[in-house]
Amino acid sequence: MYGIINKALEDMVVRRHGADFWRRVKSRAGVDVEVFIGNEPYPDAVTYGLIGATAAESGSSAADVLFALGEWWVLETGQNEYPDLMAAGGRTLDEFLAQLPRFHTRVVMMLPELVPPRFVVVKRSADFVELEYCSTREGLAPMVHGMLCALAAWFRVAASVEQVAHRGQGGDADRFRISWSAARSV
Amino acid sequence: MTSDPITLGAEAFAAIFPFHFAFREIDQELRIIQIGRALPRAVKGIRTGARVDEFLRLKRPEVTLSGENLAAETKSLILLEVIESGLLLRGQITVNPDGRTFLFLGSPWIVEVGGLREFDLSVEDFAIHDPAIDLLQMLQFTRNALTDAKRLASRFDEQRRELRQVNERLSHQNEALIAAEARLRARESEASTLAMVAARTDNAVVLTDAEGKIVWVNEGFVRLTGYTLGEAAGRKPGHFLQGSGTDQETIDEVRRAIQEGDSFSVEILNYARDGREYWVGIDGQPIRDEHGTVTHFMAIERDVTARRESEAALERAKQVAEAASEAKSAFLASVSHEIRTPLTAVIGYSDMILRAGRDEVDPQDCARRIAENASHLLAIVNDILDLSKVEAGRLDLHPESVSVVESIESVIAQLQVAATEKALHLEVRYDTILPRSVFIDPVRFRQILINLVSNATRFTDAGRIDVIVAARSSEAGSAVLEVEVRDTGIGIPAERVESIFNTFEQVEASPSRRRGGTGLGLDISRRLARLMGGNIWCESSLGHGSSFHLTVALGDASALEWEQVDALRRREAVGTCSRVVTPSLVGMRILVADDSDDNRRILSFLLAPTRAEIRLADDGAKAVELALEARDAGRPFDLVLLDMLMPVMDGYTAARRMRGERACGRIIAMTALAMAEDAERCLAAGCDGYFTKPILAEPFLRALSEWVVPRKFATPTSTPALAAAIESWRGEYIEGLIKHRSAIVNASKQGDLTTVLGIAHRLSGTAQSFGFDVLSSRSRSCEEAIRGAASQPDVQRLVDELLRALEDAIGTSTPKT
Repeated sequence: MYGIINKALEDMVVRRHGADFWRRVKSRAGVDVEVFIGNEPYPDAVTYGLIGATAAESGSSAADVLFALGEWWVLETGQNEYPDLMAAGGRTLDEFLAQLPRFHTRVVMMLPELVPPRFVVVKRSADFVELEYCSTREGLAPMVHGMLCALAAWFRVAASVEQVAHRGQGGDADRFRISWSAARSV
Repeated sequence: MTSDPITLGAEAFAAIFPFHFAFREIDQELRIIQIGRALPRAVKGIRTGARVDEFLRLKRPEVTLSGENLAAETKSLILLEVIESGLLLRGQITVNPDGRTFLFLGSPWIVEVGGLREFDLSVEDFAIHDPAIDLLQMLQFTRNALTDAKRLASRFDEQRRELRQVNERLSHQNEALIAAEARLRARESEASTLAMVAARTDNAVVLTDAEGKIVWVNEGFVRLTGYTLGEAAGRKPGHFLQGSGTDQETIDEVRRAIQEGDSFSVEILNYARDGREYWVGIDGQPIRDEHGTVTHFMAIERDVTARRESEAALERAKQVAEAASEAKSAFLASVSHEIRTPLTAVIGYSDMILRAGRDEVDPQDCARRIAENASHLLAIVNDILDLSKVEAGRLDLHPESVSVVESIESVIAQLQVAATEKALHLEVRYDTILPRSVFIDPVRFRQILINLVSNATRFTDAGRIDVIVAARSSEAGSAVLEVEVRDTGIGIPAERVESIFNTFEQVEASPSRRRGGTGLGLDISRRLARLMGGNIWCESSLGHGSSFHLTVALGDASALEWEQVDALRRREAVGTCSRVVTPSLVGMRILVADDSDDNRRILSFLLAPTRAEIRLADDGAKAVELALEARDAGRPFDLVLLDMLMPVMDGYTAARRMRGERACGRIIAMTALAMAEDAERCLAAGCDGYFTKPILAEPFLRALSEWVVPRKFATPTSTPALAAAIESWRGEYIEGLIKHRSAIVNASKQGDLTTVLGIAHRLSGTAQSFGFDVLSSRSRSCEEAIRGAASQPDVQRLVDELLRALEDAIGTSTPKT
């Protein structure tokens, strides 16, 4: 994965737990990288190791960490560091979700070694979208869940995000339903 | 096959070029005639019909915005700047065939992150094919990466600063370490030196903990005490080094100093591992840590045993000296008494003779008693003189070839009278074989014998006195003469057997001292015996008589002539008397010079029986005058008896004058001064010998016999009478020289210089009398060299010369004069 993910995790952990905590995380993960460069690819094991070490150090689950990272990714990383990219994603939640494939096309142009996930809107209505998430990597569905929740918040939509299908549990992909009230926005 | 050209519909054109606009040159003004859908978002207020330059400025190329100029720039990259916002529009110009209508195709050029929002643009405003947005994203990514890189660089800078600081600290620390290492090395070197000093010093060095338990000792300690570090470590020195003789107060002083952390300096008696006692001077110092707490004690211990023993010896010597001084004082008091006693008798009897009438006293009896007391007085004075000589180291031996048997029989004869008077049986017994003659000082040997035998006589009231004479040869080849004087007298208490030899001590120290004697004889005798290479000791017990043993060293046994003692000489001494034969000096002329009328009379009386011609002088000047007259008359004096202390001219001057004038024969100093230096002074003045006053008949006549013996008569002006006598003795003398030659050869081979010295001494005194001047000279040189401890080669050379002179003398019956 590109360093941008690891950097986001570092920023989140440092913000919430402090620099010493992050040093312990890195030490626990056996990662000896001083500064992650966003557009440099790193082995996936580094990211997984850091996620696991953060969970262990904080006494939470890896899923919780991934969920929080998803939220952080949208609300902090995306908005502060790539506002134009985010803005290019769409003017509404609905639009943003619909344009996720184009969004990732743009990302791939910038990060040529990225193997991006594939998002497909499988159902949609006036008050919900059902989104299928496919990735070559496993276990990252909680992060997607967190991202979707954060996107709803970013677009000031009172939405509920529910994972309605899990990869490996009767399905070949993870599926999320994002529901909102068409008349209400926060 | 050719395909039809693709044409764009207005909708497609608008979608593809959302920021385009068209304008036409009308009246030299460029009027907008068409605008794309998104252009108004970038250029606020733009509208058709307006002039281009109301809203836009041509940034590049730098030409005036005119139709003509733009028509020439269709292949250029055109940059238009929105006048209101500064937004750049990037694109190109196309010109219609009419040459007046222009189309700008482009889009906003945004290079700053956040530019979209700044210029109120959105992604939707751009055509999908337009890479501007993606380039902007790329730029964003790149900028973010750059930020990461800057962050990394910043982190590196920070780390570099930290590293620099760390380096500086390390550098400082390194410098400090180097300095510390240098100090450490210096200290190690110093410590090494100190350790070596501490280890190698002869002093013992002990390091203890604060309680005084040993933690380290050096080699000096091990040498001094015999205890190794392993044996001493953990123990307090006092527990194994001190013993019964160690002073408790000193121990307490050291203990107190250690308890109070004070330094101390003591001298103490310690015991080594083998029990040996030794004294050490200990300097103890506390060693404190940085808080002042005593952590160790260091003690340096010097072996002061030698000094202590020396002090003790000095103290003992002082005590001995004080005791001797006390004894001497006591003795002086005793001697004073002893002198006064006979003196009182002499004065008393003399007074009786002078004052009383002949009928009232027996003059003969008085004179006999005066003589007895005077003799006793003289004995006391002589003993004291001898003792002072011995103590001053000035008693010189004059060894000569002496017959042991004759010497002993002479003494026995002399003392036989006293023994007979006490009805004692005095007997001499000789061993079967004795040396025919021995080389010893005859006068001192006689003195010892007389002392021993007269003591025996004095302390024996009844019974007998045996004198047993023997000579032994040791395994080493040296001969020893042994004389035992055994009596049946009162004996000596065992505890006093040794002390009777001490100076100033006697068996009977009471003032009455009925047995007489000075109490110095044994001490003097023992000292003389020791000077002669022998000794005297006593075996005795109270009431059972005494046995005094005398030994005298005789030198190399092989150089002696051993022979059977004549049976005739083994005789009982009872009934024999000593006889002093007055020599017959018929034809000789003797001059007596003495200012004392008594002495002149006595000498005249003693010399009368010799039938020599006697002349008298009462001062030195007259003596010289008479001597010169006699010489000039061709009848020089053969013998001059010269008192040394006379008025007008003393004896020394007179002797020098007579010698200088070759006026007479032999000159004998008659002196009351008995010290060795007095004799030397006489000889230096030209005298040939000396006689110590008072003038007693027996010693004087014995000495007179010696003086007139030719070998003693070394005179350059030999008298006719003597010359005749000498000539008659020549053959016998040369026989003696032959024996002397072989004795010197033997002694020289064995390095026995004492024997050589004895012979040289004899020859130097006699050879000239027989005309062997060279022999006499060589003998004297040899004697002087040996006495002066000359080097061995020099002595050997002189001995060789002496032997050649002997050969010459022996080989010629005619003297070389």
